[in-house]
Amino acid sequence: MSEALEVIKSEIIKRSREEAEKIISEAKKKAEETINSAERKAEEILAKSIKPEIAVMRKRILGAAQLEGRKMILKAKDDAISKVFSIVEEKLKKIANGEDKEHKYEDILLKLIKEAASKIDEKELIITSNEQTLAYLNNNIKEIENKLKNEGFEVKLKIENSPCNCIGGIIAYNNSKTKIFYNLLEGRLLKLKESLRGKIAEILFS
Amino acid sequence: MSLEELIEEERRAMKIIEEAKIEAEKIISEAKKKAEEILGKVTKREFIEARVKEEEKKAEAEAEEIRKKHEVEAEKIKSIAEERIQKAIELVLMEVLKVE
Repeated sequence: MSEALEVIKSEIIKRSREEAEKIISEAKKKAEETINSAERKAEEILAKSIKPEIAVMRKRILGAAQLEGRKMILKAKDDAISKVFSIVEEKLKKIANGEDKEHKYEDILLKLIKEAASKIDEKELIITSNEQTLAYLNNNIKEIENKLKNEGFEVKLKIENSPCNCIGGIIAYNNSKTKIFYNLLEGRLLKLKESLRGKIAEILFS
Repeated sequence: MSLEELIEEERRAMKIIEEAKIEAEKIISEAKKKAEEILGKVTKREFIEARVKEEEKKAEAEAEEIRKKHEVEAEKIKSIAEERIQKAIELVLMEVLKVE
């Protein structure tokens, strides 16, 4: 009898403890839901009130970073293109100094004079250039005139012996200086800088 | 004697449940209080400012990523293959020396 009583007593306490645990557990669950719901609602309120401010701020910060990055890339590209032009300029100096085996400056010079003669279209042409080129022209003027004649340009060349500071090429003009044709190597390079940018960029970065 | 013991045990059991109910009410009451605090906080200026600051930090981190990405791209551009540079040089030189 006593043993049976103990079992019943133990069962009563066991069930009550289970019930108590259930009550606490449900309360905790409800509490969690209440807090979660409040947090969600708070988030909504907050988002609504500061959303425009955050959007503007993000646009400002991210936009600045994008701009900075694009500038960085543009500068890198620009530097690479400038490097190409600098190397070409150095090559032109070597060509004009007769240090380039692949290009004969005398032949280039003849072509530049021929082009000037064609553009100015006068019987007499006055030519100037740097000291070195003028020396060559002075020594070979007849030969150059003959070569021009052979190519259909009958023109008398006069050398203006006041050298200009340039890499190479020529400046040609008529007697009255009403027609001047600049055919300097650096001038030709300068003219190409803008027009060739696209092609160079394609070669370098595509 | 045994019936009294059972009644006593039953009283103890009821007390356990009562205590649990009180504890449960306390938990819920505290949660409600906390919820009110949460909702009350969102309209306070300093909280809003802190949140904006937090978002600003996030945006700065994203901006840093963007910068790094561009830096990598810029470095890639700087290390162009020599053959490409040569090809570009040849093109420019050819155009400079091309006389009509």
